[in-house]
Amino acid sequence: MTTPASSAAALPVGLTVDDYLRLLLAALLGAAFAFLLASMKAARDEQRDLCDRLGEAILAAADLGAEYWLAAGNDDGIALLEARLMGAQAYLARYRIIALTWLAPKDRWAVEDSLAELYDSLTGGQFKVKDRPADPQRAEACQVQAALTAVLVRQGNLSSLKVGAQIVRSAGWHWAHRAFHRMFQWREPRA
Amino acid sequence: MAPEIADDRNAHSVGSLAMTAIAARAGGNDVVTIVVARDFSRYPGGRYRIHGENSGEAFRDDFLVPALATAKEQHGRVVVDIDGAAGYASSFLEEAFGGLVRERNFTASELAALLRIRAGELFDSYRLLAERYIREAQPRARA
Repeated sequence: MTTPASSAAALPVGLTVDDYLRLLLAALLGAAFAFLLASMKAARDEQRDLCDRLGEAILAAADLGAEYWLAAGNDDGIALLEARLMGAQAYLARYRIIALTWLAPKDRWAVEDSLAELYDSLTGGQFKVKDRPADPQRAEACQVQAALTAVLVRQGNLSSLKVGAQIVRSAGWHWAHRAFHRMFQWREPRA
Repeated sequence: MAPEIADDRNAHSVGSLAMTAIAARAGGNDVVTIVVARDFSRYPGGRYRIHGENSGEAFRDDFLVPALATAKEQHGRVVVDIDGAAGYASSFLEEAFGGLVRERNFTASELAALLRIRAGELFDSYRLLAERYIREAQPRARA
């Protein structure tokens, strides 16, 4: 029969089985912690990347908008600009869903509201009207509103980098994220 | 769930006949449900009729106004589902929804009771925009 004492005697460097178990547990905990940190960093980098790209898309749409509104309605190539603007707007409408997933609802709605304002600058007013004159004021509005929206996206992203939000995100606990905000009965703001 | 999208050719010209069919499909207190992509066009755009057949003016006058009249009569509500379209130019939304206040003498508070704009996540910004146009529109001063 093998006793604990005899097995301990057989192990090198004078460590007991209990010592090895403790070391193993510490290593496992260390590995789990490192994994969690790596996951958090990966999620954070991914989120930052998504928000950066959304910001770039917003500014690119604004450039198109400025180009469109600085031309008169019957200028050459205006139809192409109209099509590209509609495409840019559709891209923003879809891409924002991916990019804004992890923003807190209040930050997200601030961005949504600002995006709606941007859409108004891009394709509102006399959009597609053939005999309209150039509209420098609307061109400027496109640029200004896009800048504001891009900053809001960045701000919302920074708020989402809190430790708690990152743990939830890296663990994929979408339900916990939603439940947390539901607890506070957050509602979409109404004017 | 993917929105149902219908072939929209000539949909703009069906006017009140389309409204009758749409009203028949609605249930509950929502007396009329209009799915823009199915009942009007998947490519809505332009402000006035002269800017294209799928304009905001056409949608407002051929679909929204008759639907709102029906809803008012039956003390119900019109639901406009904006999902499924390729996208919305803001000028379309302004003319269709803001134009109800500006051109058709509805008030914002009346529309708050009579009209509900429904949108999934994808089209939520457009819903916000349409609601904002209703709130901010001013009735046109009559001579």
